[in-house]
Amino acid sequence: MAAAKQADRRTAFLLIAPAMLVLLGVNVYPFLYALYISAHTYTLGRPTPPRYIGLFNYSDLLEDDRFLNALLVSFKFVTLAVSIEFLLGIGLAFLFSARLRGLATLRKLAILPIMVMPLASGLIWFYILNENFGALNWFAILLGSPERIRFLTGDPHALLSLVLADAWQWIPFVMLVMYAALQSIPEYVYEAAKMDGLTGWQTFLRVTLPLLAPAIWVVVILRAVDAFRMIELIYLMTRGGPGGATETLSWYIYSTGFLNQDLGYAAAQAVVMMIVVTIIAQIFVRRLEYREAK
Amino acid sequence: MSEAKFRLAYRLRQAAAVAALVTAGTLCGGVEAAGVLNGETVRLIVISDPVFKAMQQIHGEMEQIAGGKIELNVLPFDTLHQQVLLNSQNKESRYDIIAIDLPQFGEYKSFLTDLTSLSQSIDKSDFHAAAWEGVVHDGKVLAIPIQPHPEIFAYRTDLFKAAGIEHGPKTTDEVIEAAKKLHQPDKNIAGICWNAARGTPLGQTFLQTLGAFGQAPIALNKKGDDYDIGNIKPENMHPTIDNEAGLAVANYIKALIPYSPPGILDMAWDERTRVFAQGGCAMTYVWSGNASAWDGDPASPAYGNVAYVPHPAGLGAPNRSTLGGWSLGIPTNLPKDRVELAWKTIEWLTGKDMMVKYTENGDCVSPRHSVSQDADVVKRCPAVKAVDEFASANQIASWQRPPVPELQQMVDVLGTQMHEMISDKKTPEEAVKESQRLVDRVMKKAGYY
Amino acid sequence: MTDVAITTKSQTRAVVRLRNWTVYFGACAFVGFALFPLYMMITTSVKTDQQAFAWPPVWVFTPNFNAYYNALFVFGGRGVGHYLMNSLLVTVASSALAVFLGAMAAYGLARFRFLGNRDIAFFILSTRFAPPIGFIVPIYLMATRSGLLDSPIALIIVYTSMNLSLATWLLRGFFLEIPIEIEEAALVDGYTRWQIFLRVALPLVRPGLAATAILSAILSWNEFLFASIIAPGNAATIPVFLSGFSASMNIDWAEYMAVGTMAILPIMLFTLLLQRHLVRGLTFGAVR
Repeated sequence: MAAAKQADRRTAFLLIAPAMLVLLGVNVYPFLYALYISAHTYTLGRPTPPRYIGLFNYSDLLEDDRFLNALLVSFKFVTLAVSIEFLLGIGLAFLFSARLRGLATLRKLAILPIMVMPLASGLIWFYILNENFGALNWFAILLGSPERIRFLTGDPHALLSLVLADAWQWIPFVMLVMYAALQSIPEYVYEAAKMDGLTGWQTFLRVTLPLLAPAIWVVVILRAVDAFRMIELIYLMTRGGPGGATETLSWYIYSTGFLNQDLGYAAAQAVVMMIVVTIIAQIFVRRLEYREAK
Repeated sequence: MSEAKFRLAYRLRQAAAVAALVTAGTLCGGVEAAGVLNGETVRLIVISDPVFKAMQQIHGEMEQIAGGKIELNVLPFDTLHQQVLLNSQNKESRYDIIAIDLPQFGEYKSFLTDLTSLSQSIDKSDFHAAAWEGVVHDGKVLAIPIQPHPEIFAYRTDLFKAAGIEHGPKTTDEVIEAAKKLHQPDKNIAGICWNAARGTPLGQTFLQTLGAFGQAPIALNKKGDDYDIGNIKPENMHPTIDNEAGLAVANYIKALIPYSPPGILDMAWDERTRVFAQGGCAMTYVWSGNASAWDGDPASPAYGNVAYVPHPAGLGAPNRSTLGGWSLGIPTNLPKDRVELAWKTIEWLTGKDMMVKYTENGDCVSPRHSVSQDADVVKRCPAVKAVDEFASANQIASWQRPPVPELQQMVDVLGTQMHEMISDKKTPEEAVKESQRLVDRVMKKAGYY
Repeated sequence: MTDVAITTKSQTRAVVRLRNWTVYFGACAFVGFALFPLYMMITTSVKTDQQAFAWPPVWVFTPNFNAYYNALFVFGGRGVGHYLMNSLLVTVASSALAVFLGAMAAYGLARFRFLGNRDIAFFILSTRFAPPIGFIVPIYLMATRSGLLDSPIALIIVYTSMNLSLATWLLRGFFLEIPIEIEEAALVDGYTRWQIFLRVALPLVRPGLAATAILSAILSWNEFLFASIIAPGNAATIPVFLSGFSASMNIDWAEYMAVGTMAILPIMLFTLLLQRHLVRGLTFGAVR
């Protein structure tokens, strides 16, 4: 028995090792390097080497209004984007589950946005939402708006525009996942519910939803993490927005590290960002594991 | 055979051999030993600006002339910037030639090869003085200009005539007057288009307009009506934004807003060019190379109806347009055996013949007097003639954006503060004061004082 | 969930028809929303600059395909073929690796009990948290020092790493779904663990493999940030090609949109090929 366990453990190790190797190699060194460089002032291309300044960057962070604003904006964006993507995604999943002709084709069309390069979709939304020549403003005026709407330069319009562009691309993803999960629920579950006398709404709440729970958790975590890291849309659409209204943590790091070339400070921000996301994810994942254990 | 006949025969045989080789070479597509490259590959890292787009269009032809391979790595602005900086840290440079935007010299100068002795073979007098000055830093020639152009002021002659305005605006007051008259929102025509988007666009607008008001953003030494950027010392790095000129610029910018197109808060280089080409505004600031958007497009309402003047001035200062655009340089970490190849390529690419070819392919920028005064070039690119005149009249300079490493940060600060001002979140006084304070902090953090 | 199953006898056909029409309306509305930006992208790619930036917007015009010609044969630096080959190589290799290594790791995590199983699983997920922007410089330095800068291998490794977290988590769910009895029966029959993995478990999660492959391919194909930093020249991919159409003071809108449009096609093709597997595949152990 013990020998079998040993062999088991070795097999498990061999199975997991290659993946871990790649992950450790690509992720651990950069993180350690980021930690290291966050204790220095470092600018590329200068003849002077990096200068050690200890935890100065981190103490700067605590006092930095822009950083706190970036955290807030990130939080706002992720919450808005993920909520909308989730609610609409799951609603559409139910919609597309109806057995009607032509729905399958419509569904296949509906997932096209996932395939578009963010570098292109950001620009096309910039084009659509632009005040000078954007189609959406044309519609708005057609519908009676007295003047053009500042989709990308107004507060809170700018953040909402980002959410719109993000939702456009990822609602289909959520819909796809939820649809597949729905498909896997067998008929007899519904029949049993019907026989128990449950109404449609009760069935949804007490039968369908719990069965979908694992899928829901995974999709929400994935979207939340990805929304947090999103940068292409901001790069192409608002570049930090009116007065920092769309300056998420990702964009602030980009602005500090790439535009201001203050790599040490940017590294400190990246480290903090990793820590924050890890803590929040831990909370979510523990709940997911709790469900799995049941 | 006598001695002389023997020699003659020998010579004849030599000549025949050479002729045979050359013929064979030519017949085999023998461009091998003929051109600048001599069969080698030259690697450039560039951006998709007009001159490099022209190079792409005539790429095949160029490779034939040069007798080798030309590798063009085309990247967007931020990526190019990042790659050049990262590349400067490598043991061996991955690129033979890099494209440098004029304001970036301060950041790049520590890793650009000194081309002063090599550049003796170039006729400097053919270049616009300002363009050549832009590539000389600390007394060294660090690059050769290939597409340097100034930001100038374009206006619709037909609209001006219809409104009874005699000539193009020479001062900022005249700009505002004209804008008032020509602003017709019901006809979808705004008074003036300009860069007001948050960040770099607005920051540069401020710096360039500050220059038109006769003021440099940092305490440079004055040189007549201009400033000396050849020798910048730490004591020159104090910001000089919070003063009469700075406040006047802020007020001017604010005054332009009511006569600007609806999307002004989001307007940057691309949009202002597009809108003006569409006929959506009567005047615009524009980088002269971008004028081909209407000068080269008969469908544009602005086609044939545009005239150019240098930056309108304020506070009685002389007109000064800001120089920008691209130059070609060689990184210091390029292996020594490739430097000659890189230099010969730069010399060829910035030569008169190639520049004329560029203008045939959509690049309406010429820093060479000889090219700018060529009749065909002028016909294709009217703006080139105007720029040549401004250059000769000393109305182009580059001190408005001093080539210091902290320039981008200065631009960022101004771009953010001024945007809050035009968004009505700050008064001009507050914006100017805050900009001064933040730039001062940047300079202190960089250790100048 | 279908309405038909829950419908009580008292509901009239009219109500059912109203329901159906609502469903169609909702579906069409969403598809319209989903396709509108794509429509804008395609029309911008066939408009002239004057038409693209006109106000009011131009809806009726004669399309011209200069931008496609330019993008394919004239502009872009090294020619679209170069970038296309790189993208194909990097996408196929990194997706295959991610799926394969991810399947192995997922199986190891799902089927074996050992200390640290939970933590390793969480670590794998946490690699997705890393903001690419924060780690670009160290990755560049790593690539340079190992001599892999601007080579496809560097990109393949980075993309594999990026996709591994998704792959492992998805496939772990699938493996957990397979009834353990099947594998136990195979054990009794004398199969080794490896053989069970390769010949029993993997085929059963084929839908999951397809789903992972598609999602990985989409990410690798469309990724820009890392490609622009560690593969700007020799190993440059389609997103880098696309970004080249953005100049310092203007964007070549038509060419940019043309490339954006064309870039979707390979992904669409790939998804179409694996289509059947994809939908069935995204279950998450909803029913045990």
